[in-house]
Amino acid sequence: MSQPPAADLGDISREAAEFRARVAAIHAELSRVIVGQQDLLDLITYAVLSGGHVLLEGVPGLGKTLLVRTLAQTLDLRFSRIQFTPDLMPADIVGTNLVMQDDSGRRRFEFQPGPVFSQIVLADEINRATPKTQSALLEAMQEHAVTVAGESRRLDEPFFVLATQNPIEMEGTYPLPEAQLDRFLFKLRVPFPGLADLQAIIDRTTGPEQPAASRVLDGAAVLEMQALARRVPVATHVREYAARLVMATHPESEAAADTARRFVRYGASPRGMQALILAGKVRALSQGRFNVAMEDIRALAMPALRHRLILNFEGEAEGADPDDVLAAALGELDASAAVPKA
Amino acid sequence: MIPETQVLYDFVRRVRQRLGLAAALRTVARSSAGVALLILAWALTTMIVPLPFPLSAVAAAVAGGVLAALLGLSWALRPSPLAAAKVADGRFGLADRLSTALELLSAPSRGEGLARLQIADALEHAQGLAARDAAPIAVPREAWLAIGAGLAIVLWAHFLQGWSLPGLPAARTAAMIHAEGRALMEVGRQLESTARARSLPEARRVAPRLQDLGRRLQGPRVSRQVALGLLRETEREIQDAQAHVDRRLSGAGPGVARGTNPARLAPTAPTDPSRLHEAIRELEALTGQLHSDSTPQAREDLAERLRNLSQSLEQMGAPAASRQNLAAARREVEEGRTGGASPALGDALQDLQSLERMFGDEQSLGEAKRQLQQSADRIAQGGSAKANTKVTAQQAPEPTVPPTSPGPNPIAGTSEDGTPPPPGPNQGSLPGQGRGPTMGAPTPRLGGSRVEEHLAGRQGEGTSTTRDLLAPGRAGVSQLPAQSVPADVAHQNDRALSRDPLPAAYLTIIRRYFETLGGQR
Repeated sequence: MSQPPAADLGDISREAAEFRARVAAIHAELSRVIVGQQDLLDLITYAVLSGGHVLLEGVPGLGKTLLVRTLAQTLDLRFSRIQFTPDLMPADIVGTNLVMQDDSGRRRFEFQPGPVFSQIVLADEINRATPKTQSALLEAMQEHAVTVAGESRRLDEPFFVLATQNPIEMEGTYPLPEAQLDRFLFKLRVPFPGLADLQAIIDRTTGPEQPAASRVLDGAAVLEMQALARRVPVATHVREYAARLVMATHPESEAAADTARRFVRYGASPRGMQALILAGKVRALSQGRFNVAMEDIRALAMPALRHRLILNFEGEAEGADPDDVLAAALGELDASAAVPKA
Repeated sequence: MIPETQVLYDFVRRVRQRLGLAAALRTVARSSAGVALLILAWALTTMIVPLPFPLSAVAAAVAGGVLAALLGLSWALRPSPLAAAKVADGRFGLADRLSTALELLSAPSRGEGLARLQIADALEHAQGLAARDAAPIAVPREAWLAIGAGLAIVLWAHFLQGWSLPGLPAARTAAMIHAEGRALMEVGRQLESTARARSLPEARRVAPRLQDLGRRLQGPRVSRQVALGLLRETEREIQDAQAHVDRRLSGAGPGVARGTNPARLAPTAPTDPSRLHEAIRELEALTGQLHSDSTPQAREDLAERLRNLSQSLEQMGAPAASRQNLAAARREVEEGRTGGASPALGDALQDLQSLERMFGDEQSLGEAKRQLQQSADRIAQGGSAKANTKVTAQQAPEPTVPPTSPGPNPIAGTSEDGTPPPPGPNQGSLPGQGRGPTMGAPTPRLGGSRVEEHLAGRQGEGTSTTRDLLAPGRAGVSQLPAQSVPADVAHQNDRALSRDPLPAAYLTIIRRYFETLGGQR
C-alpha cells in the first residue's frame, strides 16, 4: 500500500519538467508574433500537443492565419494553406493522378499530392467550400491518411488541420456537417483584441521590423510530448465528471441539464469526452501537475464541446449559445456532484 | 519508520473524522432545535392542560440523546476517504491532487512513472496541511435555535412553571390541588389536637407533616406531578409510622396480632376501642374505690368486680401482663391487703392505657392515610366538576373515640360547624359563564317574529320579447395584398437584419417567403 514514491523518479521527473518548459517556449514564441490572445495560444498549444485539430472562428483580421503560420514555424512543421472557395474540388486538396510523360515518351499516371500532404494544414474559410470538398478532409483528419483512386496514402506525423471560418458572412457559405465538426478537437473563438492589444499590434506590424517566431521544437519532439501526455493518470471521479458532462448535453438522457433539454437536439459525442480528457492531460502537465483535475474539465468544456452541440429549433430561434448551454450543464453538474462540505 | 504515504492517509483520516463530526453536528443541531421547540411547546401546554412535565428527566434524556446521537452520527456520517480527499482538494485548491493520489495508491498501476510522480507531488502538497483548515467545525445555525429554545425552557421553569391560564383545565387542576392542600391542613390540625388530647405519640409526630404538606400544596406553583409526589412521600412516612405502631402492638400481648387493624377485629377483642376504653374507666374507678372503702363487704365487692374485669379482659385478649397484675391485685384484695393491691392495679392500668394509645395511633394514622389517598385520587383525576364537588364536600376524619378533655388548641371549625367551604370553581360566576356540568339558563333573545320574504309568482310568468337581426354577409378575402415597402421601412429592416445575425437557414426561409409573396402579386 505504501512505498517511497519519490525514489527513482529522475527520468520521468525530467521529462515532465521538459514538457512544461517546451510548452512555455511555444507560448513565448507565439506571443512574440501574436499580440494578446493568451488563452487562445494556450488552447491551441494544448490541441497540438493532444494531436487534435482546431476550428478557429473569428471575424477577418484577427490574426488567425498568422497564428497558424507562426505555429508551424515554431514547431518546424511543413505548412500548407488551402483557401477554401465554392469552386474548390476535393482533388485540389488531396491531390490527383496526372498523366505524365517520361523521357522515353511513355505516359503513365503519377500521383500529384495535394496541399493536405503537409503537417500543418491551414484550411482558411473552410465553410466557403461545398460539403463535398469539405468532406475531403474527413479521412485525413481522422485517419491521417487520404485515399485517391483506391490507394490509401499515409500523411506525415504529426498532422494537424487548423481551419478558420467567419461567423458573420454566412451568405454563400456551407455550414460544416456534424461529422466534420466532430473531428475538430477544439472550436476556438478568436476574440477581438482590447485597446492595449490593438496599440501593440500597431507597434509590431507597422514598424521597420516584423517579428518572427523561431523554431523551438520539431515534429519528433511534438510526438514525444503527445506520448508523455497520454500517460498522465486520471482519477475515476474526474473521468466520471467528464462522462456526466457529456451526458448532460444529451436532451434524451436522464442526466440532461434543463437547458440542454430545452435547446439541444443532439448532444456531444464520445469524441467530445475524449477531447476533454486528452486536452486535460496536456493542460495538467503544462501547469506542473501530474493528474487531470476537474478544473481542467471545466476549463476545456467550452472549446471541446461547443461545436458538438446541435441546437434544436427553439434554441436557434431563441438565439441560444452552446456556451450558455454548457455553462448551465456545468453548473447543474457541480451542484449535483457537490462533495460533503465541512 | 513511518512510510511517506502514511502522511496522506493520516491527513485524510483526520479530515474524514472532522467531516463526520461536522455533519453530525449539523444533523444533531437540527434535530435538537426541533426537539427543544417541541419541549417548549410541551412546557407551555402544561399551562393550559395539566400534562405531566418531568423537566429533569426530559433534560437528562435530551442530553443523553444528543451525546449518543453525536457520537453515533459522527461515525456513521463520515464520508469515504476519496470524498474526504476531494473536500481537502477543493478547500486547499489542490486540483484533485490528493484524491487522485489516494486512488493511485490503491491501484496496481501506482508504480508507473507519472503515477508515482503524481503521488510524490500529492505527498509534497499534503505536508503541513491542517485537517482543521480542510474541514472546519463550526456551530450550525440550528444550534443557536436549540440553545434559544433551551434557554426559554429554563426561563419558563424558573418563572412560569406551575402557573396556569385562568379558566382552563390546568387552572382547575391547580384549584383542586389548593383545595386538597387546605383540606389536608385541616386534617393535620385535627390530628394534632387529637394526638395532644389522647397523648398519641405517632399521630403527634405525623400531624405537623400533614400540615406542612397542606401548606405546600397551597403554594402558587405546584403542578399535579409535584403534588402527587409530595402526597406519595407523606403517605410513605405514615406507612412507616403505622409499621412502627404495628410492631409495638404485636409485642404488647398474645391477643394482638402484628399489623392488625383494630377496626377490623371482633367486638369482643381487646382491640375494640370502646370496650377497652370502658375497661380502663372501670379500672380507674376500681383504683379509686380501693382507697375509699376498706370494709369486708366492700372488699368482696371489689374482688368480684376485679374478677369480672379480669374475665372481660381475658375475653378481649388483653395483654397477659395486665391480666396477671389484675389477678395479683384481686388476690391481695381477697386477703385483705388492699394496700398491696394498689401497685398491681396501677401497673395494669398503665398497660391498658398504653395499649389504648397505640390503638389510637393506629386509628389516626389510618384515617390520615386514607385522606391522603383520597386527595391523591382527586388530584390525579384532574379538575373535573365531580372531583370539585367531592373536595368541597369532604370532611376531616372524626376520631372514633372522643377525647376525654379538650386539648390546648381548639378544633378548627368545619363545614358542619357552619364555616363556609372553600370556594369552588363556579362560585360567584354569572349565568352562562359557569364551568360546571349543569348549563345555566339560556340567554334571552330579542322579541319579534321571523318573517320569510320571497317573490310571488311562477317561473316564466309575465311578458317576454324576442327580436331577430338579419343582415347580409360580405364575400372576399380577409387580407390585403402585399404592397411595396416604403424606403424608410426597408432601410430600417436592413439595419435590423445586419445588426442581429440570422442563421443561414432562416435567411433562406425568409427569402422564400418574400419570393412567394412576390409570386402572388
